[in-house]
Amino acid sequence: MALNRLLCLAALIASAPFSAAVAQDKIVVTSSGGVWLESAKANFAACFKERTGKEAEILLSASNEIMQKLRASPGKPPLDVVVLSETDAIRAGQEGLLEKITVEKVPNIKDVPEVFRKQWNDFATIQNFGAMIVMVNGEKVPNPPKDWKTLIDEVAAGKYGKRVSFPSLTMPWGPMFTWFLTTLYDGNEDMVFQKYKAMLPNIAKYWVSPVEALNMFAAKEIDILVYWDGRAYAFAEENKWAKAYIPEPGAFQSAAMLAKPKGAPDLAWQYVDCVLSPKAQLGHAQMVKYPIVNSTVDYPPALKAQLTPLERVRQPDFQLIIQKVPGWLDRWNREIR
Amino acid sequence: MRRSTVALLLAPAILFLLFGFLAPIAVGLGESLRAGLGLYGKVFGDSYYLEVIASTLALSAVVTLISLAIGYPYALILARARGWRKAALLLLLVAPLLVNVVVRSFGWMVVFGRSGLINAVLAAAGLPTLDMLNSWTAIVIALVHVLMPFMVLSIAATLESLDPALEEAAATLGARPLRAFVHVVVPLSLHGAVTGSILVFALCMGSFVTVMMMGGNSTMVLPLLIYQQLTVAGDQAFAAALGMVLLATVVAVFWLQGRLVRGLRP
Repeated sequence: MALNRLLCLAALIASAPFSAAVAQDKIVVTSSGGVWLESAKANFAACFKERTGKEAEILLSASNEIMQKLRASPGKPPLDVVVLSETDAIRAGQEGLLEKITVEKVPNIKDVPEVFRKQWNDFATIQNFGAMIVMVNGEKVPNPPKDWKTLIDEVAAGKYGKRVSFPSLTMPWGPMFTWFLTTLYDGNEDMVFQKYKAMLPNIAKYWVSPVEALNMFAAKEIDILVYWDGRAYAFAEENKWAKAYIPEPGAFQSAAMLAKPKGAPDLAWQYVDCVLSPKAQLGHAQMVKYPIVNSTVDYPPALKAQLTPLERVRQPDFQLIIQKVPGWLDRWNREIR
Repeated sequence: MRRSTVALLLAPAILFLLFGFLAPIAVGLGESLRAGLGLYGKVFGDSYYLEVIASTLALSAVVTLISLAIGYPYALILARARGWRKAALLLLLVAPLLVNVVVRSFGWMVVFGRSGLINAVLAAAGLPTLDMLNSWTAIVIALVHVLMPFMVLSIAATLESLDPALEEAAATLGARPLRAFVHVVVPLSLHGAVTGSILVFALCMGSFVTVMMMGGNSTMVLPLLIYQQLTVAGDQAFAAALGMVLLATVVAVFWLQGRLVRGLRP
């Protein structure tokens, strides 16, 4: 009898979270960590609270993790607003896991140029973008090459020793970087893989984790690092020996995609609208040092100088990349070792 | 104890295993077989994937053997220590488990780096420096560091349960300490060594964060390949097939190990 009572008590305790979830007094949204999380709290969640009086609980989640959660519960998502990678956002839209963003639901979307939404068929929008640029140790490499092709050839020739790190194709944005390199070599994939192979003896590591990459550079294990612009500029600002620049002819656009999963409450649209609002967008750009997408925002001059302009980035063809990735990955694993 | 009570007490664990272990395996198996046996043909018909399976097995075997070789003496001393010495040895042993795997890996990077601790000491001594980071050596050292506690605790638990009178009896019958250890203690602690080896081997077979962080451009193991298929290629079916191959490989190794141990028993 006592055991039965214990069992009932356990059942009651176990059911408590479900009871709480029924009352929609908050929404669950995702963010990256560090300064991104701080910005999501200070800009997006604060705007949402001001508008609705409700809380936005922010979870740190990687794009692939979010995708597994959405796939596991289609129509009843455990997340109300998500930030996905570009390719995952396309996949999620195609799999029917996301709801289309419209002006009726998200008024601020009218100020987001179509280029930031078109490839995703309005199932997601870019909230901010960046680019992969080059960081150098200015003391060791005072005159770095001005363009990507020269950089690649000089690395392959061993000019900088084994003190260089490029992104691996196996990291989530690696295929986009590979796509960008194909655009430099007239779409010739074989040439790109030849270049990757030629550089290999002089690459300390094709990096797979952004934290690992920055640690190698900060510890002066490497002198040249291909890395994201916002973090690169922030690092260079704090460390005078480090420089960051965009080689010619620019860089590829890397973005954080904002979306509302199908089945999430309508309240979540308010959060999406907040993220795209001019005030929150500017606040976000100031904190994370990445360009944002609301065209009505005017950056202060000091901030503008730190951001990669839209005309310097090329937006990858994500549909093409999704088709190419399995083959590229297989080729990378076999050849680049 | 009444049958119904036993059933009730066992139910949570059995349900947990059914839903937390067998159900995901069934889902993974189903996913991998959606297009027939083709994905398994791809794995077993391609020398690259066979090479990755061999690398995974070799890494796990090496880590298990090193953990056993270093861990056994530690376990022996731990089992026979008393008071604060035992507590200190235990704390030292489990300390790596208290640190997050990513932070731990960064710690090793500081140690192995070109300007890291080891190379700083070598340089100060006028010796040539080593390029240890991003290599299989770095991976093995980092994995032994974190997995050895499982080996030591398994062996120490067995050694602690041994009756000291057995060694005394061997000594009374004329056996020197080393002979008593080899012929009495070692065979009786075999069960703990096997348990520890199974734990270390299985955990190592599934490790990928350490391999990813400490390895180089040429270090590849099955779990990392699975991770790539999920995160980069978005190919769930192939990732599931590789997962099933990993599981089957571990089960096959345990079966072989079981047979080997049965053959070794006196």
